[in-house]
Amino acid sequence: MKNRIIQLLTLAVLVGGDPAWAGQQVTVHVKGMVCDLCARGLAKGFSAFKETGVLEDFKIELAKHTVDLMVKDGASVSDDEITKVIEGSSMAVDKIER
Amino acid sequence: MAFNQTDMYDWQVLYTFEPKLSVGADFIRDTMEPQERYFLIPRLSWLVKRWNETESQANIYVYGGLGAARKGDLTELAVEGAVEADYETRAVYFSGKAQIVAARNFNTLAIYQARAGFAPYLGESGELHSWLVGQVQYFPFAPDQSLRVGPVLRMFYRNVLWEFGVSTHGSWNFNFMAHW
Repeated sequence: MKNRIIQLLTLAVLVGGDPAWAGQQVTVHVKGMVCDLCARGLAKGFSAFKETGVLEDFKIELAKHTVDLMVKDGASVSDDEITKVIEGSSMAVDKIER
Repeated sequence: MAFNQTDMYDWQVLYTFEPKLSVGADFIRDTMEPQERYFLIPRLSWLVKRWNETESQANIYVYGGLGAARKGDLTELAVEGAVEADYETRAVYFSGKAQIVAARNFNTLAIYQARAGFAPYLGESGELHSWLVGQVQYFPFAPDQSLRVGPVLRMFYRNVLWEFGVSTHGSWNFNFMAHW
């Protein structure tokens, strides 16, 4: 029974993601992000953004050329703010999905 | 960044103050010639053009500066100029470089380098990335073995890059870069 409860809780976390996060996910498609050294610059930019309290977290996926931004509930991030971080690393925004 | 081989090293420290501009200095020690010589050159680097595509990136950089050249008791004003270009996808990588350092009473130090490489696997962000690279270097001023060809193993993990190589000169290369 105990194992069953642990399995159900694990499944709930895997399916539902972070239960504490109820914000919006923004997927940014980035042109020019083809290596992890380039991605480090973006990570630095979005880490600074995270410290402002707007982002819960972010995830870089080189294979998809995307950055997923987990925006905190009640917070917002504009396309211009995202573009500023991307272009600050000398890369370009392909599209932003909300 | 530090480029090291048995008879020359070139250490570079750069600070990027604008996305396309950085300042720093080159320190070069050259023992290819009979008399050892050194160059210390503050420099400015400019990312002239970057092409950002979904699957690729290409760049042209130029850099240069004024500094000092020294061999024995002789010190002269030195000037450096260089151009670099690269093209990469997640799977292939090409680059070229021409770097020239000139000073009165010194033979001009020139380095021409071309590289082509591929990634045997595609790493994700935060993983170890590895490249197998073929490298050709040409040092027109070198008394012997001015053309050097050899393989380089290029690896990076997060913000640190390192490279090991050997060449037909019978020497090794070790390059290192940390990016903050």
